[in-house]
This record gives sequence, structure tokens and C-alpha cells, in this order.
Amino acid sequence: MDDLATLMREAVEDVEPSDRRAELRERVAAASKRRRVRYGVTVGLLAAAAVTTGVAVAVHQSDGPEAQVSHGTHAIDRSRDQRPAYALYYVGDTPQGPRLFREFRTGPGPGTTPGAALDLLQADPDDPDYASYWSPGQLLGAELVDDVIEVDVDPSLAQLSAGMSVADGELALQQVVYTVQAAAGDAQLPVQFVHDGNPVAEVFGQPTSEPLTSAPQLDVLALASISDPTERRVVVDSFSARGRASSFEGNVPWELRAPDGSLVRSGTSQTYGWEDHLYPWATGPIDVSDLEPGDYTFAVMTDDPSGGEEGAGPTVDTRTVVIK
Amino acid sequence: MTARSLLATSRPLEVDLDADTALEQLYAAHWRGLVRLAVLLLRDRGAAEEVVQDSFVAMHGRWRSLHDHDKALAYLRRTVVNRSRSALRHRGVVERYVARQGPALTLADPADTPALVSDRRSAVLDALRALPTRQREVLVLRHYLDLSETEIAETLGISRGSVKAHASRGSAALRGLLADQLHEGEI
Repeated sequence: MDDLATLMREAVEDVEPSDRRAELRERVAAASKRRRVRYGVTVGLLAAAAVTTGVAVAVHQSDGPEAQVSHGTHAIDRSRDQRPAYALYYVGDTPQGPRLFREFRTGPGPGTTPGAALDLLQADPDDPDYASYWSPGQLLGAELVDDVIEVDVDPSLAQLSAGMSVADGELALQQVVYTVQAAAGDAQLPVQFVHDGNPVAEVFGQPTSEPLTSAPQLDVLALASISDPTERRVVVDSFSARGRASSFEGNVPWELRAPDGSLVRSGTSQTYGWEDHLYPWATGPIDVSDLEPGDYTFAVMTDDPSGGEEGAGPTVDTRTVVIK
Repeated sequence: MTARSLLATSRPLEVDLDADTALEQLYAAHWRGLVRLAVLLLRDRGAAEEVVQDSFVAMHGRWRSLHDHDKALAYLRRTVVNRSRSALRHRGVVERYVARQGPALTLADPADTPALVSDRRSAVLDALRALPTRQREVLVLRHYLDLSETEIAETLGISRGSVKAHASRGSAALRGLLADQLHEGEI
């Protein structure tokens, strides 16, 4: 092989695309259906074109199913496909106490914005194991102003809420910091809590008159988490999972359990590091073609070489995977 | 395994395949390779997956006229190249996917890989992006996919003479940009 070929091969050899087969099947099924419908309505559209020069406009304004099948089709599909994925941070239980887990959800585009991320964050997480410190209406907006992300917050939240510890208060702020930084695409941007454009002195008992930065990952994030599949992802034949972890010697055990709890697949992924932050892991394809349809549980965990005798035990993240 | 076997046609012509079955087989055999091809053309992984997925949908819609693996794979390659070019032209599309990836969504952190390899990967992708579009396309098809001049000409819809010219200018430019990497001794 020539030298340029070697360099090109190496440049992409770590690219392991996510498994999009189920999505692809849905898209081609929808496209086939549209094609069938379109052939049916062509005559009608030609007739319409005879009486109006604005066919495309008329189609866009129509609410009927035909609106999905003619000139507007491409634009409609693309806008749906291009809804970007937001990384949202929620709270879950770990042996280290409450930690942040990341969940991806599509939201308004074209690009992710801190404001839209906060709107999404105040809805319930898809994963029932997660929760949020924030209720709807408490985070009023966010925008990037001169390289600072300003988060407009309900000023009545200066004190800790009932039942919240100081650690909870700190984590609640980091929940926002991690989420808006991800949406802004820059984990270095400082985050200033404001109300009516002015910094607020305290939020949940934490000083906030100065901008906040993100706390180290190993202090606030769950040490094992799943990015893909998302909760209740439908899979056919096979799927692959990926996420991030900081686990002893880079070993990241995973398992797939049947609806009755029995173990049907298991393995261990390997990360390149573990000591200073979270590192990506990926399972590669997991063949499930011989499994009965149903709701399965995929779990990933930190490695516990002591078998639970030492330390706090493993951090576990789970997803329900719907096998069809 | 050579690059050619990654994306070359791996099965004999099969007639009477329906579009859905063809889609499944082509996905199983070529999804990863085509996404890697698109990453070389686009640099961005999220956008690459979208482009390749769109190309599979388009292929499925045209199966009636393609009707065999050879033609379908050639169509997929051509569509991936064309759609990558169009995505680059509409930079906004790529920027959106980059934004969507965000700092937390990168598939592999730089810390994942030994620094030298990671640097070299970035240098190669950066250098490819720095080339004019046609030169990049010709070089990737020639070196990564190991296609012949004739196949490249068919894929890009240009003459063999143009392929030759783009290849020679592009190789010189790329070797200049990657002089350090090519002289590291490991390659």
C-alpha cells in the first residue's frame, strides 16, 4: 500500500459509526409510502397547477397529508432530520452519591443553543432512573454574551430548597453549567447566573456573583454512562453501544438482560485511560438476532476488581432496549 | 484487509433481490467503510453519518433501476461523494453537525489515542480539507478506495484526463502538507 493510502487508512481507522439500521429502515419505509402516495396525487397536482401558479405555496399551506408528498417533501424531511442532539445532564444515584448522567435528546435547530438546552432540561428525562434539581420555570433563559454564558434564573432560588444538601446545591449548578456549555460547544466558557441582566449573589446557597466554570469530570459526573442507545431505542438484529467511563484499568463491563432479568449477553469494553477524566468506550456490534422480541436492559458499569469487598461498588448506568 | 476489500464489491451479481434486502446487505457490508470515506471528504463524523444515511435512502429509492450490488455500490459511492461536496458547499450544514457534536459528543477524545497517532490523524484530515474539492475527491478515491482512473472518472463524472491532472497536482500538494508525517519514519 502506498504511503498516502496508509495515512488515510490510519486517519479514519478509529471511526466506528453508530448503528443507524433501525432509523434507516424507518426512513426507507416512510419514503416508499410517500412515493406510492405521490404517484397517486400527481394528477391532482397537475390539475391544481392549471388553476394556480403557486403550487408550492398552496402545498405548504395545506394541512392535509398531501402536504407531505409533493414539493414540500424534501424541505420537511430535512428540517426534521437536522434537529440537533442536545447533551442534557441529569442527576442519578451512584456509589459516590448523586452524580450527573448525560442524556441526548433532539431539540430545535439548526445548531444547539444554551437557551433551548435549558428548556429541554426542565422537561423530564427520558431515562426514568434520572431526575433534575430544576423544575419548569426556574431557569428562564440563557444566551452567550461576550464569551460568557448568561443563565437567567428565578431569583427566589437563593437558598437551598428543603431536603437539599450543600453537595446537592453544588451539583444543581453544575447540572446547568455542563448542559449550557455542551450546547454552546465549548466546555471552557464561564457561566454567569443572572436575573434581569444582573448577576445574582447566590443560587441554592452557592455563591454565584462571579462566573462559574465546570467542575472536574471525576468530581461531578457518573463514572460510567451510556450515550447510545438512547432510552427505549428500537433495535433489529444487532446494535452497538457507546458512552464514557472512568473505570479501573480501563475495563468497562457491560451486560444485556432479558425481560425476565436473565443475562443474555455480556462483555467488557476497553478505554485507553481512566485516571484523569472519562474516556469513551464502545461495545462494537452486539448480535441480538436470535433473541425474542421484548424490552431488554442494557447496563454498563465500572469495574470492581474486589467484587464489592472494597470501595463503594460499581457505578451502573442502564437503558431499556426494545428488540423487535 | 486492504482498503479495496473494504469497499469493493464482495458478492456476485444477484438478481431478484428486493430493495429492502439489498439495503440490509449493503448496509452490513459497507456502512462503516462509506462513513469512513465521508469522514475523509468532510472531516466531520456526524455529518459523514448523515450523508451516508441519506445516500442509502436514495439508493433504496432507485433500486428498481440499479438492481445489482455492483451498480448499487457504485451509486452509493457516487452519492456519498456528491452529497459530501454539497454539504461542504453549504458550510452551515456541517457547522450544525459540529455544533451538535459539541465537546461532549466527540466519538473519541484525543486522549484516547497515543498523541503521535492522534496528531497524525488530525494532520491528514486537515491537509485533505485544505485541498481543492476535486483534488481531495480524486486522491481519496484513488488512495483510500484504491479505484482505477476509469472508476474515479465514472464516479465523479469527469474525464480520465482530468482525473490524472487532479491526482498529480493533488498528490504534490498533499505530500507538501504532510511532509512531517511522511518523514516520521513509521510510515
